[in-house]
Amino acid sequence: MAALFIWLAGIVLEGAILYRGWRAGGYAKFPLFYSYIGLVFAQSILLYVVIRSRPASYADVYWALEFVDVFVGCGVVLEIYRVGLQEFPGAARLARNALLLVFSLTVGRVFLTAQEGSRKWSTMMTIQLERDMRFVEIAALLTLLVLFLCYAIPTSRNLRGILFGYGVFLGVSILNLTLMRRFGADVQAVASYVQSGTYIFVLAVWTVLLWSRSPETASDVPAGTYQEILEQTSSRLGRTKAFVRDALGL
Amino acid sequence: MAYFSIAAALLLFGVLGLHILRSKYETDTRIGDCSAAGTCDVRFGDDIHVAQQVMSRVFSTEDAEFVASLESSELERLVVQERKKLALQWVARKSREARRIVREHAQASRTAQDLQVLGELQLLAHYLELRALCGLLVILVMALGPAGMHRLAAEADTLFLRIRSGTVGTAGVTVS
Repeated sequence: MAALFIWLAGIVLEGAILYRGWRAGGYAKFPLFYSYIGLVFAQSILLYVVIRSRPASYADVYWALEFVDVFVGCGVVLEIYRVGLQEFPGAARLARNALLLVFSLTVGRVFLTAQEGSRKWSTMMTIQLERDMRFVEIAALLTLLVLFLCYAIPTSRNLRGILFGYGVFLGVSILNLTLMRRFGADVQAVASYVQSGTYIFVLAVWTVLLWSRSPETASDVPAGTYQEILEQTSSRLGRTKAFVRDALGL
Repeated sequence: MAYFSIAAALLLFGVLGLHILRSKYETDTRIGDCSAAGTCDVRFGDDIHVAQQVMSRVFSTEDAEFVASLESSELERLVVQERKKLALQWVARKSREARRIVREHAQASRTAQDLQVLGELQLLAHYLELRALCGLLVILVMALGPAGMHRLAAEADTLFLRIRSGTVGTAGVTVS
């Protein structure tokens, strides 16, 4: 009964997000995010039909769709990068380099799992591959968050909602997948409830924070060329360092 | 990979929390106080000479030697305590100054079209070196006191010069 309630609540909230996105003009601003929600919405309905009509094939359909979700979810991370840094080309450039490094470091691991799976594919292998893919997304999201913090990038209410919701969802997903991989069926029932509960919480956050379109964040006027800024900062840091070195008697 | 995944998830929650907190207090922490008007340097500029004089006095052995000549252990203890406090406050201020400089740099460079990753890394190295120096200074001041630290440095210097002159002398003998 509780599972059915969570399921239906999820479908209602996904529908509400899509409806409000359409009314508030959010599709143009966050096309990849709303595509993701649209896909998840369609999948929720499909899975509901499958469990009612052919419960035996539910697990296969679920894992196949989950796999598609993981890849489309990468688009949400891309969207956060695109929208969050579009007014800040300097920080965006740094993010591009950092993301490339993170992707090349972690994607290797994913291919390794996929290669293992090509020999003998199992549900556990799917869980492992999904966990690895989520790990790539987390690494990318962490990189972006650190850049946002270091460069004091202002984020609009809508973007903050997507960032927070997707971050929580990813964090709980990877914890669940890790525990399922380690303890198998013993924790599956609990993990499933935790995951569903978190998902409903995340959908609620998105519904509230994406209800209306938030005003755009103001961008700064460039304070000169990068070389000028760098020289100015270096000289100021150098002066401070000289004082400290003097005090140290160096 | 399991431990990495758990660590990554926990780190993500932590950074997300930080991000939410920062967004909440964004307006309070804006550096608008002086950087926007470009007055930071001017204020520090006025301060520099006075601060330099005061701090060189705090770190010098002159006053410590004078107080020692009065032969009052209580007075000596009080002076060392006060000087330590002053020196630590000064170091804390320098650390804050370094943080502010880097923050201002980040705000200015985030819109620069031609931002260079190497430049940012060099700056980060400078900043970390400065913070490490500040940390070292704090440890030395806490352990030896500002004047004691300089005394130690002077002694080390003398010892180094003595060793160097000794080595040069020996080398000279060997060559001739």
